[in-house]
Amino acid sequence: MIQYLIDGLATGSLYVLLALGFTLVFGVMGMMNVAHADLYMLAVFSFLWLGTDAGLGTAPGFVLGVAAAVAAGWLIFVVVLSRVDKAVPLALFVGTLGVSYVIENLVAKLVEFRARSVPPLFATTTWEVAGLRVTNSDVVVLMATLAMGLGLLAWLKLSSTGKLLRAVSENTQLAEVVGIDTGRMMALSVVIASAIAGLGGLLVANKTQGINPFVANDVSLKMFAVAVVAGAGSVGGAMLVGFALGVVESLAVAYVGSTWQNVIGLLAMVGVLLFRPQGLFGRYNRVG
Amino acid sequence: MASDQPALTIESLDVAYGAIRAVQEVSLAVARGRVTALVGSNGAGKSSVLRASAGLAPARSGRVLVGDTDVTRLPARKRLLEHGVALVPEGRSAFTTMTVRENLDLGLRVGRARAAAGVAATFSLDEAFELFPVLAQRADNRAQVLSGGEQQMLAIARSLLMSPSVLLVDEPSMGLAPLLVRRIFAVMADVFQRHQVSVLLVEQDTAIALELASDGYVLEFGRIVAAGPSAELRDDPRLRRAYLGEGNRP
Repeated sequence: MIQYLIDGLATGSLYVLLALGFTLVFGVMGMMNVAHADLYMLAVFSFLWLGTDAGLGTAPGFVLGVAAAVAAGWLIFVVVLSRVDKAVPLALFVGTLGVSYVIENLVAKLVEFRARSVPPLFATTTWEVAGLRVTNSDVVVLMATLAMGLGLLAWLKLSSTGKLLRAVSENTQLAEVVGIDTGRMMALSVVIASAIAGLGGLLVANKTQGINPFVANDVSLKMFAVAVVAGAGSVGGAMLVGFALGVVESLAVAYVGSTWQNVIGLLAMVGVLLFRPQGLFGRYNRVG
Repeated sequence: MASDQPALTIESLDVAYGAIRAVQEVSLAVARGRVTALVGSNGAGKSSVLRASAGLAPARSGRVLVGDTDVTRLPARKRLLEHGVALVPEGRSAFTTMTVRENLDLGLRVGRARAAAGVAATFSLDEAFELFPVLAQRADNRAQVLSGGEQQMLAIARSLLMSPSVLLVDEPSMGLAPLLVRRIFAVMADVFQRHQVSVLLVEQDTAIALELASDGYVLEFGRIVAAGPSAELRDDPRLRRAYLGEGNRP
């Protein structure tokens, strides 16, 4: 039982790391970036290309992988997010969906539509404590997720820039009125979100030891589910719900059967939304 | 700079939303250190004049000057940070998920930028708390817990902390009970007088607006139809009939 809990938290880490950035950008810009999960994939392939294939080594490859995710996120912001008319959510959805297809197929073409194995970032060890198996890569993912999630929350709550970001997230028009550079805050939220996705992606790939160009198709839905169930824009909520989804899935696999893994989480999402359309931690009544 | 130069001058301003011309050929001046009222019925274009002055609505033609500087082409943020054009928007305009103090800090942030540009602060946080004791009591609560009137006070205090060179106040009476409106106008009269704030006040309640203001303009269908010292406008029989409710009684 506790073993499933540990496995679930490790799986949940990926959902948390993706949903954190997705929900942050959604809060600040009022926009869904459907291509967000592709940044995770892009970071890992960049790591493989630069760190492994080009022989730059693990640490430089890691840094460049994160940098690639940030660069791609920035490009999506400049080319699509900041240009599409916010008043037409469908245009934005289709726009970022298009970006997602382009990134995925471009990468797929480059790797000839094959999945690749990912060399470990560090030597893996497995600890057995009281009959429980825990690997050091699990621990690293979990700790990094907690650090990034709590760090982001604290930064939003306490730092002066974080407060400006929250102001834009609550009410963009009013933020303009009090002299906040809303465009700069939006760009900043995209950079932070992309960095978290890239960093998280590399740590998760270190655990799963594989990556394929279309991995976003599997995790995007979970990312949406976590963000929506938590309440779009709620960073703290995304952490709790992301871990919870990982644990629920892990328990579902163990006690109901592995075919139920993807069903249970989405059922839970529909269930929550029936009773709380604004999400569990939704404060959402956006103006403008 | 001559002291009789207006704080804000609007010259033949046109504001249009698509084919709809909301404001036509509006010219007005806001005297330094005094309150100027822009009154008129609902939909006359008052808020459009105010939002165009702040840079939040596009001016199709005409000019907006702060002192003798043309700011017509500047975006809202630069008008505020560099030229001190501050707006108190209509309705509830606090960040409700932030604390009262965090809301006021946003005003102080602009005030500090203005101080760096050489404009001395005239209004302090202590003064804000003294003037609006409820803000001091609720300083560390989310602004959500404030009533509509208290949120209005918070918005006024926040804008005063910005060291505005001209303060644009949009419909402060909106959605508030009459007794509360009286109180807010009394506080505004006091603080504007004490700090010599230059104010352009847009208000549907003509009587109370002209009581606070020293000068007034009347807007009808996007055009100025009357202007002058408030006392004269108050006594104008046509205005009394149209806006002060006289002659409409059964």
